[in-house]
Amino acid sequence: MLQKISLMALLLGLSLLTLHASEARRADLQSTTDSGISVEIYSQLSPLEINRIHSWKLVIHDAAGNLLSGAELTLTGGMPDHDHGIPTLPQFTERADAGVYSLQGIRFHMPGKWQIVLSITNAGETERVLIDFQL
Amino acid sequence: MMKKLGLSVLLLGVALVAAWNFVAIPGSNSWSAEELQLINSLSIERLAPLPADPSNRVADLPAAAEFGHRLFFDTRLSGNGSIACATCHRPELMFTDAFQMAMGAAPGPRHTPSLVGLSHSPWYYWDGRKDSQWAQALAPLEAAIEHGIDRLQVARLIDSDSSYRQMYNALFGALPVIPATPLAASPLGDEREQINWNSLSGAQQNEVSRVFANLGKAIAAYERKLMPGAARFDAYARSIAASSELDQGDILSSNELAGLRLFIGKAQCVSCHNGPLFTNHEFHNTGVLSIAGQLPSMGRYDGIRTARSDPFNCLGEFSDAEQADCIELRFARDDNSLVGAQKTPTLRNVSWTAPYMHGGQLATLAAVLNHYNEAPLSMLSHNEAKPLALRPVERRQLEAFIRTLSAPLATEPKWLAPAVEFTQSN
Ligand code: HEC
Ligand code: HEC
Repeated sequence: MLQKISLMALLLGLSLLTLHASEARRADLQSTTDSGISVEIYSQLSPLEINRIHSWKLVIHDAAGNLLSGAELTLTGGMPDHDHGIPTLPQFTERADAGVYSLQGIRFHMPGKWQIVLSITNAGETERVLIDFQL
Repeated sequence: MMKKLGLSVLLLGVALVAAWNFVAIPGSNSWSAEELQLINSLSIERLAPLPADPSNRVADLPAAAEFGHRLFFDTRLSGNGSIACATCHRPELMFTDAFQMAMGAAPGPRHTPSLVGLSHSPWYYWDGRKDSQWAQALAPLEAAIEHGIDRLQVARLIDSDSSYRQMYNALFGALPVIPATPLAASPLGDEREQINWNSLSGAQQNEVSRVFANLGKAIAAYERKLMPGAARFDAYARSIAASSELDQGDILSSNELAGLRLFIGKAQCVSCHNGPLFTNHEFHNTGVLSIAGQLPSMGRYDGIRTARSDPFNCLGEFSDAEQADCIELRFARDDNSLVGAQKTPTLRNVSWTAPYMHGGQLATLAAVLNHYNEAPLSMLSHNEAKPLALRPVERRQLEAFIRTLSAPLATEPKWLAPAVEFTQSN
């Protein structure tokens, strides 16, 4: 328990959210909203790399740790140090299993610092979570 | 006294100007972990296998490449009998033509880009108005200023050349009956050709367009053979993979190394010219002056719209792809940020493919570096690149580095000249 907390703190400090011990495969990116909704991103391309279009699966749990189904998601993003966004228009397509969301058509086109912005609307409440990572 | 002071101020000034222009600041003699990673990411050894093209069933069939090879060099595929793809895309010039603007049946509105390594790109043309290499290959054939022929006459040529007919049948199944009249017909041609096209039945139109699309697929299979070779830079990247010491014998000179450091650092070229082909295949507004006598190009903003409405696109009836395969087309961005954006070209072999940019606006690499250094305001929308404040010596170092990216192609020589059978039978 303690170990898990300090691990989380370390990851937070690095703002590089790449590990999650409880999944068989590590999430490529992950974060938690202010209200405690957790997001794990599993990329078809792992590790993430530039210049290849691919898809993501997002696994979302509510604050109580239950899979959260039926939320409305939108994803945007870009490079905070350059004034541009993601070069494609990724879309959430089908909703597969409970709590699992599928995003298609994402590509990054520059090495450097990226940030994605995920909006999660559930039961009329919208929360945003920012995830920074380096490519 | 005053005079003496004036003279020494003058001399000091001259010395400073000279130093600014010519004296390199010695760089560090090792690379950081991030720099090493970037250098490695540019190495040709990191080039991924050619991505499959699900929209082209024959993309990787050797027989299709052989067929496409012959078509690529065949001047009979033109209205005046003198123009082939290879007229403008000359193998000895890395498949460019050394002209500022292309010269086909008439002068064209754009500069001819290289075709080397291009099959890795999801988009074609400076403005990305084609989403596959086979769909791209159809356009110059029917452009009055390029090949100046039409799909009906092209189909008839295949029908009338027994060796072409055999190659076609083997790849695509029996060639349909090609209408003997009218002479020329195309939905994209001049008024006469369009009227003629409309005189054909819907079934005939579909058959002729399908033959035409199939020829594009054969040409694309050939173009997939055109790959860059390992250059001096790649030898260097390989040599430092084991150690981060800058100096690896004499593979790169100190100026070339300084240029590499600028390329991946202060000059930020690697933002767009990245990966083993030195391109992200994306669209950027870099403030290149619009072509003399033309309105500034809308670039990708128009290009994506054209691609979406192209009957030969990935989602169209002539594509071999499933809807699910057409990811690039379905998830493409089309907003205002793409106004004036052109496709980033490869920098491999670029020292051999002057002049530069979509209108051949810049004659030399030195002119290109001056352009990036100034980062002029864009005529349309905004220039994504920022002024660099590089000293003249740094610009020369960057240029010296770019010259280390040229090398003979990693393509069997037989693909770089007309097919032997063709020269014999003609
Ligand atoms: C008259 C000269 C000319 C001829 C003939 C010609 N091209 Fe081109 N090619 C060009 C020019 C100019 C462009 C760029 C046009 C643009 O982007 O608007 C181009 C672009 C291309 C591209 C896209 C390059 C990129 O970077 O996306 C490909 C691929 C290509 N040509 C292949 C061919 C093939 C195959 C043929 C024969 C069927 C052919 N070309 C005939 C001049 C020519
Ligand atoms: C914002 C993205 C971007 C950056 C940064 C960038 N380039 Fe480019 N580069 C492009 C695009 C896009 C073109 C084509 C522009 C056009 O035709 O209008 C291009 C064209 C070129 C060409 C001409 C290639 C040809 O075949 O015509 C050269 C050479 C070049 N860039 C070198 C560099 C160097 C050196 C740097 C760093 C100083 C650099 N670029 C930075 C996007 C970029």
